[in-house]
Amino acid sequence: MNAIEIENLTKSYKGSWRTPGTLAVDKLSFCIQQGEIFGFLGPNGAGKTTTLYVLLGFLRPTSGGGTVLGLPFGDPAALRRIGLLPEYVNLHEYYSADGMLNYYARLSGLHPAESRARASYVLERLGIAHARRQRISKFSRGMIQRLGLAQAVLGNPDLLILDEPTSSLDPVGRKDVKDLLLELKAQGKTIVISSHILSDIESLCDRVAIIRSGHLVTTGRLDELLSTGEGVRITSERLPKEAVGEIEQLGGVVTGSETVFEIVLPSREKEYDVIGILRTYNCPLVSVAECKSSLEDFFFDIVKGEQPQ
Amino acid sequence: MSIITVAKDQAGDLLRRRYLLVILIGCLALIGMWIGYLALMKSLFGMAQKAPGYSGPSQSTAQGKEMMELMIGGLQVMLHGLVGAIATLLALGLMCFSVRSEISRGTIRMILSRPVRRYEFFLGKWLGCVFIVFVYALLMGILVSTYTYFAFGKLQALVPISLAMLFLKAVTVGSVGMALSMLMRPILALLIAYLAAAETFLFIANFVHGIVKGIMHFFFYLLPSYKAFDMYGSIMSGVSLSGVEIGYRVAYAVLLSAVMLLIGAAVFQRKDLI
Repeated sequence: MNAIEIENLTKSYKGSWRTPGTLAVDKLSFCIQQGEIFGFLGPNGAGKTTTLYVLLGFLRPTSGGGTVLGLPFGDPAALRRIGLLPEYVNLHEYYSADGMLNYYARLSGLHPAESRARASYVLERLGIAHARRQRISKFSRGMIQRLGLAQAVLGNPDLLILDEPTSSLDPVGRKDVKDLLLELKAQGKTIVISSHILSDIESLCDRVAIIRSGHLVTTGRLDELLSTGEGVRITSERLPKEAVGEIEQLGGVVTGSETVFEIVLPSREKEYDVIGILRTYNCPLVSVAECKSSLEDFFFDIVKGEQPQ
Repeated sequence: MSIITVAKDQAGDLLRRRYLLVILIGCLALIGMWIGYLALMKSLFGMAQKAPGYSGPSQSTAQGKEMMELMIGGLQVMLHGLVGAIATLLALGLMCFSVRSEISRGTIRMILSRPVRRYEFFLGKWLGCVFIVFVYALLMGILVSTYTYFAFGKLQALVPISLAMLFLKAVTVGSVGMALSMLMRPILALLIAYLAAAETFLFIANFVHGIVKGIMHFFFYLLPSYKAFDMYGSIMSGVSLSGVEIGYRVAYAVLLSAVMLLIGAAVFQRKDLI
């Protein structure tokens, strides 16, 4: 079952006498399955935040629509099961961390006892329990980001929508957040992440969608998108010149230093032949892997328009 | 339930920001000065009577007492006017900016990502502001009653009624401002709500002629009137309002506020929150 379904979603902002109108999202259609971590990518101004805000009911679609957890966009019954971390975490600074979570828990309809237990858990889990009685105005940017995430997971939501969840965090904080997200995924939660930190997306997401200028450019499983085809990459510790010659005759490209060599084959057809050559020359085999490009390379190609699909 | 939660947050926010405290301290200082001024006037009146060649009324005569009461009544009208103006500006300031500031600060997104309906948020904000204006009116009622007791030597039933009317006026004008703030900048909404009252156009109509006068009269009939909430005449004459008159004013305030809240909530419901 799909957690989110978007069909032909279009959102345009009206202009004024000084500024022209903007088409932020144009006939966008894709689905997000339940229980997956979904990366929502695109350059600045691509329409990511607009799309997320339409899902939550903050913005009214110009045309098209869809469902979130089987309900219309912005439906309070769906919102009860959603946690949001916006890109800019703006909190009421006069609250303490505890007070703020209590306020949001009451708005979510949590029972006071449950609210206290959940607040304690999420503050502890995100490493800010020590500052629970401190006023938010005294928090650092990283602590506010953690608190923003704490309020998002406070109601134990089925669907988490996170806009730049790790942007203000140090490496330790990023690891904590990534661990938490993987833990939530293991619990069957659906997580939508919009981020520019592509390494985080690559390490967390099952599927991604990339949009540019409001259009969907591509969507699919990350491993499928990053696969460059039939190619294979073989790594060996030692490779004599005779072996290199034989591999190159099979169409392989050999690179590397004296200790580690990398052999790239255009197809898997000759994979076992190459492994046979390595055995013949007694060269230790380190790894055999499918050729993949990094998400960063893939993303750059996409946004530059070199690989439209 | 969400309405009460939002209202508590709004009232708590304003109390924490100490807006009310600053206004109350200012008003307290003003009343102190007023009492001092009144004592000074009494003393000057007494000194004038003792001056050689004085031929005016004495404090002990009926004419003298009437003159004294007229003077105190005039001062009391001014005091009520000032307290009322502050209440109206306080209500307008709070209500016009309450929702818009949440939108501009971006805090609204975290609130409306909860199962809170927009009208609940809107009404909660309004209710929080009404509570603050009520606390202000209550405290001012105590202060003005204290002043009246000092001036007249007894408590007057008119004072709480007058302050209740001022409270109703402030809430009504504030509701108009809050609805307008959904359509325009809050500061503009504040100014329009404060100035675009029926009385303003009737006043202008006195100075213009022809078609412009007709337009002014049209606006006089079109726009809400708040004159009924001012009890200056009653304060001067000492004649209180009847139960029916009070009921009429309460009904007018409730109806106008409800219509304005409906309009404001309907506009807010369709508003893009970016």
